[in-house]
Amino acid sequence: MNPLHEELTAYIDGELPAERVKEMEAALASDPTLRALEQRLRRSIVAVEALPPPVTEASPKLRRAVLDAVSAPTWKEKWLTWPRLVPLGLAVAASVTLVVWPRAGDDEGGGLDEEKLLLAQNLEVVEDLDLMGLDSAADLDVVAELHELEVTP
Amino acid sequence: MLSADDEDAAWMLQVAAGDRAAFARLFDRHQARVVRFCQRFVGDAPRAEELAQDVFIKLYKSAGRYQRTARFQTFLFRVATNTCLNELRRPGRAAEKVEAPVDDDTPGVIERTPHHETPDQVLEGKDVERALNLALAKMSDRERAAFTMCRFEGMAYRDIAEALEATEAAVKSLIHRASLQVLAHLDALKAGTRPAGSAA
Repeated sequence: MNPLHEELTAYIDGELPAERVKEMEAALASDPTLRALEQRLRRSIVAVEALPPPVTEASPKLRRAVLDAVSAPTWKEKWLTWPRLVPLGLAVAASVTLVVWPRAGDDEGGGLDEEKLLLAQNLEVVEDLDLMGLDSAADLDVVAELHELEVTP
Repeated sequence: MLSADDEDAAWMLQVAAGDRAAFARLFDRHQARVVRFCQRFVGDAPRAEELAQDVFIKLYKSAGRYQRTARFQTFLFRVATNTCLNELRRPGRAAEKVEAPVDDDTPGVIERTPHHETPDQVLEGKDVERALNLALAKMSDRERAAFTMCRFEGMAYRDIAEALEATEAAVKSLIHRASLQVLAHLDALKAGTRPAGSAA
């Protein structure tokens, strides 16, 4: 087989450097087998490239899915919304503390554990607020009065 | 006035800075060719749309790594190729391999009908399409990627090499072997036989 055989497609595609093109043309002139393959390859490439594309436009569903996916807030963006929730969280924590503290003080010997429990509960409230996505003064009032819903055993 | 390449690069840098409108413009400009590439790659239109979705989401997420020195098209097709290759390498997917679709009536994808062709030309085009699909199904993944980028996206060997993270010599060889496969299937179809070594 002619060693230039491997470069035949690159030659047809115009991807060979000038010096290799000269070698290829000399080989094609002297090798009828190579020349026949070159012509068949060229015709097949023309036929394939003339095919209509299978897709000219993706479905609208794809566009919507992609743009929705990239519009969803990232964890970084969610994190950046935290500062505005911190004062709210502190306010709620303070109000819950005021309600629970007197009762916590009544228990003997359980001071430290009670404090830990309270802190954990407060943190949970802050997380809940984040999940609830509260962002208006009216919402804050509702949260501030949440303790009224507590059931005393 | 900016060339399309320069505009793509500028938009991509805007995407990296968080501009989603720039991303929508990039999507609109390149969505058809990405779906088309994926479809040629996996031989299945609905799957191609799913893959195209992954490609664009990955593109958005990797915008920060894009550097203006690289052509956007190359960057895009590198993401597309890797996504398709990963899909085919997934457990359970490898066995399916690439199918050679014969019937093109696939829902969910808007297709172009060549109104100007006579019945004979349509038949000839269908035969070429069939031979092409059989050949694509027989190619190695990298041959199929290189061939598709070359023949249907008009990409230069240098850009294909960059997209495939290969040398130009390797791309030259991949495209040549792929082209010979197509030629063998076209010849076989004309002769009403199967090409040597083909199970298709």
